[in-house]
Amino acid sequence: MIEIRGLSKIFRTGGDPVHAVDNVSLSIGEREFFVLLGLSGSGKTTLLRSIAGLEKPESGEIRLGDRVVNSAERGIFIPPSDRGVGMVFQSYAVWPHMTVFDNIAFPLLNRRGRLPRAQVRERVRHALELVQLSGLEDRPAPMLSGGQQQRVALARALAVEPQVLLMDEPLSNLDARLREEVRDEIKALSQKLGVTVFYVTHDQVEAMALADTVAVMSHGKILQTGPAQAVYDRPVDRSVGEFLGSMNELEGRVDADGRVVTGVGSLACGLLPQEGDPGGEALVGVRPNDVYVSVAATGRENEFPARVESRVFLGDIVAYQLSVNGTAISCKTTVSEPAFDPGANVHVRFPRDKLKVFAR
Amino acid sequence: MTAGNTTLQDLDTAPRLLPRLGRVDWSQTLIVGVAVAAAATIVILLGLIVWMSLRTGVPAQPSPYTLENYHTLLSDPYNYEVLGTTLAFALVTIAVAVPSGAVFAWLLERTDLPGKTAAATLLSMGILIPTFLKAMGWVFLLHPRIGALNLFLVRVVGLESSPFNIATVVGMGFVQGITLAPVAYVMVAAALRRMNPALVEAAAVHGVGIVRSLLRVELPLVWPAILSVMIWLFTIAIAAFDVPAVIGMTNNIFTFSTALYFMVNPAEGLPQYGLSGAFGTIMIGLSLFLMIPYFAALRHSHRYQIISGKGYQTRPIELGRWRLLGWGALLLYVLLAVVLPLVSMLWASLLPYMQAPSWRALASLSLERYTSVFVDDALITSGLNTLFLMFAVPTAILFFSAAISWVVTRSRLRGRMVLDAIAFLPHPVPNLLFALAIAYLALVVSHVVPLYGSIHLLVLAYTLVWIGFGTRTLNSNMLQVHRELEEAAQVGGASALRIVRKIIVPLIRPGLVYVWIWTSLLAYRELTMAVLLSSPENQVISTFIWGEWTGGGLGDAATAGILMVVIMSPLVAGFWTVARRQLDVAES
Repeated sequence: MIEIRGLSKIFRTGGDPVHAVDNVSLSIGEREFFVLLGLSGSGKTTLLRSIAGLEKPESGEIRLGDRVVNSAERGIFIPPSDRGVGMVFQSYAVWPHMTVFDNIAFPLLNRRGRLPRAQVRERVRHALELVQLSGLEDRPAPMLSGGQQQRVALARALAVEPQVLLMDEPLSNLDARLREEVRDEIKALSQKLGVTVFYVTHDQVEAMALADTVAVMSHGKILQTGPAQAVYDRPVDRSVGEFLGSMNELEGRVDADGRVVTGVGSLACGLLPQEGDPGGEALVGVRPNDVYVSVAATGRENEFPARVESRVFLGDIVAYQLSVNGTAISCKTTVSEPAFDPGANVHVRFPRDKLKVFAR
Repeated sequence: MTAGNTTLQDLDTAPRLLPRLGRVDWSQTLIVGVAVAAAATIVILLGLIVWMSLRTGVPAQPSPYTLENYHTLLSDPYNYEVLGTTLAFALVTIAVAVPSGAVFAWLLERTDLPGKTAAATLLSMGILIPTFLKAMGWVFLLHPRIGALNLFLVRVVGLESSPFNIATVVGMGFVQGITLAPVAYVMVAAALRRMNPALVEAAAVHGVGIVRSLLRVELPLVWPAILSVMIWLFTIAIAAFDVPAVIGMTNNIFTFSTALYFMVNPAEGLPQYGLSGAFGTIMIGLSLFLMIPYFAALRHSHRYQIISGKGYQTRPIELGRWRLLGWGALLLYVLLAVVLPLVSMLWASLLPYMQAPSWRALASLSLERYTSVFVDDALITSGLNTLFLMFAVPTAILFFSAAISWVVTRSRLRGRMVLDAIAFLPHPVPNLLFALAIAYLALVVSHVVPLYGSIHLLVLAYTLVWIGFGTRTLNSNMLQVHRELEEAAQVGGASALRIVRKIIVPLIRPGLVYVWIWTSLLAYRELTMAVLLSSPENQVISTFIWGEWTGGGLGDAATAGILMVVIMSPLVAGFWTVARRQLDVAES
């Protein structure tokens, strides 16, 4: 549905030019929920705005469906108003001088191929129903709460019945509890409507919860693309791994048997990196919730004696700082598991399939 | 408890950290005193206008309190005519200034117009030429009897009568509007910059074209700001003196300011202070009343500044071939605001009498006026007086406005917002009235203090009237200085005055420099108040030129005007460049 080939966008605002988007290629299928994950300044919003036509890339091509909307090489640039996308802005951009109804109806009444009034009324009614704001048609926009404005922005984007829905950090201005609720609604809506979604966020939890496919972006480049779980479990490198969540990092060396010798001991690992030749340096990453703790040894592989250094109660989970052969390891367990007291001697186990090995 | 930890008992015996608390800080009292003195003077002067309106006869003579002046004023149909002319003049001014200012703001803020820095400089160039000189330039060009273009069309082309007449209400409004367009530009541009660009992008993304989006989204959103600009310029126009005086009086068209001027400086008979007081009181009421819709519109425009996203720059609208039209409009503006008035004034200054442009006229061009005007002692004195004002006034303004701003933003004094409002008062109230009140006051006390006709009266008038420029800039500057920076010094035992000198002043230096330069430029341009307070001893360049003009020496007035622009331009341009840079620093 969205095809991007070799896209680059350079900003020249005094000083050195910034490659906001640096030769990016992506392919997003129909009805796919695609999440672009990156820190602020990674170029993710610029990429989204390029798809919308709000930025004009220096090189590369963008296709929406079977239509080329942007090709720097062929001199094609379809203006945003003719791309037929829907977009939800980070600031919502709900027009403050209009009512809820007018906000949603305005594009329908003012775009090419405008609809008859009766049909517009029906579309607006339907869109408001989808976002559960029925009955608020006549409310002036400034009299809406943040969450309601967010829903109006979504309804406006959906009312044009776009094939592609662009969302630029739509939840970042909502408070934490509302964020989760709206997040789940967005996911359900997109499945129900069968729309292709291009969603930009810096929140990895949000990305995991929403994405069919997630792409991690940094410094204008896409580092990894794939199903959310695959990217989480098998990050291609250390920076992607770190970005998706905290990670214990153990430096080591690959031995002749293909095990990695680290500070905590010799670890049997799953896939070794391509360059993982014997004698090569490697980094083993393991997420705190993939570290298993028990008082008695289980006798399985990758198990080591450890000492509990500290314990922090976080509500639904408990975080421990452990010392394994003098190496600090953090570990998270759910509360239902037995609690270990600081100073206790325990056993810690790193399951082979949870270990991520990167070349150093 | 390990050694080295402080216990509560230790704290009790430690030296007190807050020595100043509980003791009276005299320096703070001093700052408050300066601020209150300035504000009180403003209020007293306004009160004086009302007091004047209730008395008859000449100043310093006993008079019963009476409403006779109001009766005389309101029963004379001529005064209603003046009021009608003033309103019509103000409306034409707005009709010229606001649309052109808004178009320039849109071009510079929203499009990819090339050479934006140059365009912004061109728009601000008008500051180089005082308004009364521009008005004179237009008289030399389009007056039905002496205007060069009219003379050309009648004598050379052969038209039966002069086709153009600048000395009409529309003509005056046109010239006033041209001079105020940059003000409208700055205010609308600021509103466009405050607006969340995503609001326009949201229209584009969902299929709305540029023109519809401009008319249905962007314009309605900046409308409250535009409305506030309109009211603001309206108050400026009804109080304007330069243009009605220079252009209108050649054709006996009077607006409020020029009519008031003639009440105080009548061609025959005694000055009618009582009548002018009544007229002034009514105008004070009108201009204060206008502040109600002004602030309402301003509040409304700020309400539209909703949460904005991250600070991205929106992609400018591509003008394509329309850019030529954009630059065409800009150059046309510069032609009308700067080039034409200057050229026609230069033409007048080089001729023995006004002639149509022709070979014969070219042959009679000479620099004779320039050589004769230069040896004129009065011009030299006026120049020195102007320079004195350009340094004394801004310095006094900084002194008083910094004190007021400090009290308003820093102290917890009750009634501090009243001080702020009073400092703002001279903005809407016609400045001429402050000069009138000061002149009256000087006459009343003339037996005791012989101030009448002194240059210090000009310093007093300019300073009081423009304090508001200072406080508006310094208020926002001081608010940006975090309170804790000051409190840290306070805890360290510094006095209020020392804190202002050592902490606040260095931190807001760019704002101070900007205010100083800006008010210095105002002092250079000012004619209105100078004319009302003028005497042979306190002539400045503007009143010197005004004297030549009203005395019938049009060519000499043009010559002095050209000299004023040529000699002062490097200074003014240098000031302006520094001020703009300081403003950039202050905003970043």
